[in-house]
Amino acid sequence: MKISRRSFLAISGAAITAGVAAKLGISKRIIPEDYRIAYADTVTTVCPICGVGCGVLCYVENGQIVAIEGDPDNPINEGSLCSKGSALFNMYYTYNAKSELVPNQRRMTKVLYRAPRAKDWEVKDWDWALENMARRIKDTRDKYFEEKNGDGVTVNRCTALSWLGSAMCNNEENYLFHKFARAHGFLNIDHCARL
Amino acid sequence: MTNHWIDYQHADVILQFGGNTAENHPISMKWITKAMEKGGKLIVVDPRFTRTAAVADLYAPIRPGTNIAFLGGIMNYCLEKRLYHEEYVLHYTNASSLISPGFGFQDGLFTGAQMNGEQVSYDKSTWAYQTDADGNIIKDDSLQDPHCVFQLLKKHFSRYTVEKVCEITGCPEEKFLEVAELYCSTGKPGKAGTILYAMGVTQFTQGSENVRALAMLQLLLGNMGIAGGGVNAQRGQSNVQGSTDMGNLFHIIPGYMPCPHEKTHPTLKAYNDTSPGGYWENRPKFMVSLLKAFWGEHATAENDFCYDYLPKLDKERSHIASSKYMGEGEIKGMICFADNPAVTGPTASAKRHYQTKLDWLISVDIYENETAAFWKEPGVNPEEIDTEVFLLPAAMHFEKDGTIANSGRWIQWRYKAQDPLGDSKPDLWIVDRLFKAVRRLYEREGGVFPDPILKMNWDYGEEADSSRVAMELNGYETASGALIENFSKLADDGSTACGNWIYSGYYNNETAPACKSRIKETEGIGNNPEWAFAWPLNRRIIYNRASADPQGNPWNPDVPVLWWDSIGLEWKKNDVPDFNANVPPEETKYNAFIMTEEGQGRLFSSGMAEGPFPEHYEPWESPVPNIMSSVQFNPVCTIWYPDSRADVGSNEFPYVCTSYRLTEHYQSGIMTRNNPWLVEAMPEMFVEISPSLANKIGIQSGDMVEVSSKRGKFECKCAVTPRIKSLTVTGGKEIEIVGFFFHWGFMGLSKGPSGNDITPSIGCANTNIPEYKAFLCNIRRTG
Amino acid sequence: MAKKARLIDTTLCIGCKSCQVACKNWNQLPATQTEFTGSYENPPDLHPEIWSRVRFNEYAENDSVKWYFSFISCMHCAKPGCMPVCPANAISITELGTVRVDQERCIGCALCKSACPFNIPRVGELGDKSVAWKCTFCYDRISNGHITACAKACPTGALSFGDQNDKLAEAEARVALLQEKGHAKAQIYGKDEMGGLGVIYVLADSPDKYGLPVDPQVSLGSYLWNVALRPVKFLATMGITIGVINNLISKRELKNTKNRARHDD
Repeated sequence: MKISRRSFLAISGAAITAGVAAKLGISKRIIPEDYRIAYADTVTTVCPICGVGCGVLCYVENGQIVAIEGDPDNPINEGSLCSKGSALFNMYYTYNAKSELVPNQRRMTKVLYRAPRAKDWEVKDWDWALENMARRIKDTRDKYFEEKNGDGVTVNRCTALSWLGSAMCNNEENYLFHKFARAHGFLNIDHCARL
Repeated sequence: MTNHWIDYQHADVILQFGGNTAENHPISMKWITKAMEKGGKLIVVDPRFTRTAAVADLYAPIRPGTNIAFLGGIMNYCLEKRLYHEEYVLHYTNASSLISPGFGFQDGLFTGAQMNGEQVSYDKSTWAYQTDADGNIIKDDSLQDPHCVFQLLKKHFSRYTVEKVCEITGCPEEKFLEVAELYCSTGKPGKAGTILYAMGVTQFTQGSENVRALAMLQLLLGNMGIAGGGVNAQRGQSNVQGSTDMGNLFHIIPGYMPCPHEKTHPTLKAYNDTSPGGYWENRPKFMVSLLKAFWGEHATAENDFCYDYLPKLDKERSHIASSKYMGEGEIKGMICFADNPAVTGPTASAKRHYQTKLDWLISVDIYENETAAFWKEPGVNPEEIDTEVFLLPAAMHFEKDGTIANSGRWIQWRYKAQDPLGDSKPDLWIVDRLFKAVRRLYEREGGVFPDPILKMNWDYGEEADSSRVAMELNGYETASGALIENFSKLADDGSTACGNWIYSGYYNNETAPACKSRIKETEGIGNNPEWAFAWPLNRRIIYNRASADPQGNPWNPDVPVLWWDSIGLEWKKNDVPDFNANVPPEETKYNAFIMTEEGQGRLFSSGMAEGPFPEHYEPWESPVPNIMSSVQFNPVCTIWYPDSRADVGSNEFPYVCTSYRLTEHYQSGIMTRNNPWLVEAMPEMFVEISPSLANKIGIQSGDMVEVSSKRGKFECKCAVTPRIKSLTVTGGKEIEIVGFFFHWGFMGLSKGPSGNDITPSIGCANTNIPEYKAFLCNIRRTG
Repeated sequence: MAKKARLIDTTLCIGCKSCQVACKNWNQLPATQTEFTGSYENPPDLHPEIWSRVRFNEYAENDSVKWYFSFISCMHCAKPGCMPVCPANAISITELGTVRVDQERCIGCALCKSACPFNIPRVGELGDKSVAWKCTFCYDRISNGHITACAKACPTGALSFGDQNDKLAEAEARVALLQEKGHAKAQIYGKDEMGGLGVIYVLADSPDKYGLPVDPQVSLGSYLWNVALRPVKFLATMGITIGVINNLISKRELKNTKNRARHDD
């Protein structure tokens, strides 16, 4: 999906000074008269960077984020954002060499697999990946699972498995990480809180 | 945080100690600015002059790794000049409690030290209260008994004289005194002082003791529980509060309950019998409800609610430890969600090498990170690496919904704004599908003890729905499925299920759950009780009984958190009470800190590994000997790699090195080094040194340098700045500081060396958080 | 309509560059390639794709350090040096007091840049011609009742937006307070300079410490150019292409621009 800056502006309801754009055949404009996000829907969310928890507004048109700013109603930040918060839009969309708006080209959009000793990634689909990952997890668990320790105490653990959860994921996700890990007998559990 | 961001506005003095709020939490400055507009003062204590220092009223330098000396010095100043809050100390802390006469301290060690090579372990039997025949703690309200906590505290910190403290920390005496005087001015009743800290106190071999020293200072000054006060950990990541609440750590399970240990908790009964006192005596209810949430109908009283299904801990398994086990071949498979230890772990280059020992690695991220791409690192031959790697595309934060908890414990709901790009999926979807895929294999093929997986209560819909998870976290009655109001309704008989007791109440109805509430306060003290939900029980200021005097009158009537209405005979509130508010104030005046057994703030605690009082030891790697005792560094921390330590006062590595962050970048840099606007604003990795060091080694700003430690080296540009100064310490020695940013790695739009390649793999004795902030290095010009 | 102004209270600024990035965010400006040269300040200069930035000024004074941050962007002068010298009459002042470049008329000669005492406009490509680029004062926002993107983002209130009279009064009160607190050198900048600036600064020290010209003037050179170009200006208004001048003057500007490869890919 590629949206040029021009069509991007058009879908966002901003009327480019028709004469300028048509005559010059370019998408840039200066001194627009209209507030380009006037007709966008707003979705309230929270900044994913530091622990302040600033409110963020995503301006959305046709199911797509067209602008991101601070949420003025959130009592913590009252609409302001720092440089990282002000740059959130660039995490999603950037501009290519022709100044066209494109999704950030560095984003992960495909499942990648690296075989032993391979020099590069292979693109895979989710079904293949889920099946193969489940197989690795089960095989390792089955091979190294310990039901009782030397003293006969029930321990039901697998110390050959390691889990790193994340402070970048939601609470509900972290809770399921924990359930997943404990159900399989993980004890090596840690994450960026300690790093 | 005991308080929250907006509450900073009520502080009379703000002490930024071991953090850099303007750079790492810029929006906090909105509230600090408000406090300053009302006459509040901002103090910054930091090894370098930061962007926070640029707007501070007072800046004092400190040598990295000498926090306890500095704080011990302030406590000594406070005690000697009687600047503490006397009534608060008497009622709300354990100052008057008598300690066993056998307790003592000599030459850096507390009683009970058992030598274990160079390291010690403690028999804590003398670190105990004196009790009467009924088991009640014996107290001396005059605070004069030589065995009372107050006198022991005074004696311990009397050694932290201004001269000693400044010799250790390198802080000029007049600066230190200015800090001590200004901060201790908040000991007056009605005055509020807040301490903001971050990794600049935690990432040390004495990280926990550093935090404890901050908390003790706050107790002495009567700054806990009040508006504008508190000990406020400024969390570096948007949901590090929540991910910790959910127990994504080896030593805990959700809600800060300990992970069952094979030695101490072989059975549920043994586990429950170890519940501490105070509010924690309810722990069996939280535990049984957790087991019901995990294994549903299969968890019954007869089978100890499937307690056996929970894996039992054997030993330390934090990141430093488990990385070592990985290097030794014990760990075969790793699952890594949105984490990048190949950049952020200590001695990171070694960790990347250890990953070659894995059979397989599953990594989930929004951009290709160094951990997943470790086999691509320049200089590494992928043909020699057998590890299989699955790198899964995660949806971005605004492409899914759910909650995150900020540092103030506010749990806010995030709504989805757009669909995930390409094949990327929310982490919730990924973990749900992965669980179901493993479960299918066990169903089909059987395997080793599959019960914990097969019987796990796991049903969040075909497309996993975060609100269904939220309801499980909140808790429900097992018979009816009805959501429970809050954790006071939890039971230990299996009639309730609750995934995380502290979250109980955040999603207690489906129509308008508290975490989605967006009602701003129109009057009050900024607590905004109807904006989102704060755990526990929507309480915004923890220990708030201490905001009022024993009779229930607020210390500061201008910003009352709670106050006793002696006519109506009830508590009036700007917050949810952290005590039994159904009884008159006299009945709670000795129980202001409900989570401790004794109901009081602990100026003396037996809970720490190192001792009941914080004591200065040098960092593991230090340029100078410890002048407080013959114990050089924290005697109880575990030494994982004895050979990777530079000698005390090493000539090979003569400079003190410390790490920190930039406003423009974030953590391992994955989210910001792939952001063109931020890369434009801060394009490259660099280190910072003082003009005097630059002069000595012939470096100018912008030159290339090599920074090395006993563990490795890296090369990058150098900034020469007067914001870093050499410090004169022990024996008149000039200490130079080298500071670096840890945001870079070999992947991404902006690539650079990882500073953590040279950090030591040694951690705090209590938490094993690595000592990133103080170690030895060398620096030389390379170009 | 009332004239608008930005108030920059440098004593509240924490140098977080929120304003700088918010400007790019709202105005949809691609990132440029920069490099580290020894200071936190980056990008090092304005550019057709960089309309505002933060200067980092570091001073060692005896035993203490001063780190002054200053936001730099078009000052939207009441008597802008750029306006009279423009041979194409492309520069005007709007009803809100903002200085506007009409890019349809602009011939990219860069005279505005040389006439500007603050060295603000930059010439860059627009389709097949080159034109001047600079801060628009978020005209699209402020003419629709919103505040500028930089002011909205600012965490501390160091950068705020409002009616010029209000902002001046605020600045005066703030300076009085600072002086009362012992900041002897506290002063306003922008009240009288260039007929009054659309960007008013509260400074704790002299303007040069913030990288601001102490007494901003239109350079004599620019004035002479203006005289010399009067006939050309006439031609330009008649719609005749002045390719020669365009080539002569803006070549170096363009070269500079092109040297910075686009940073995003």
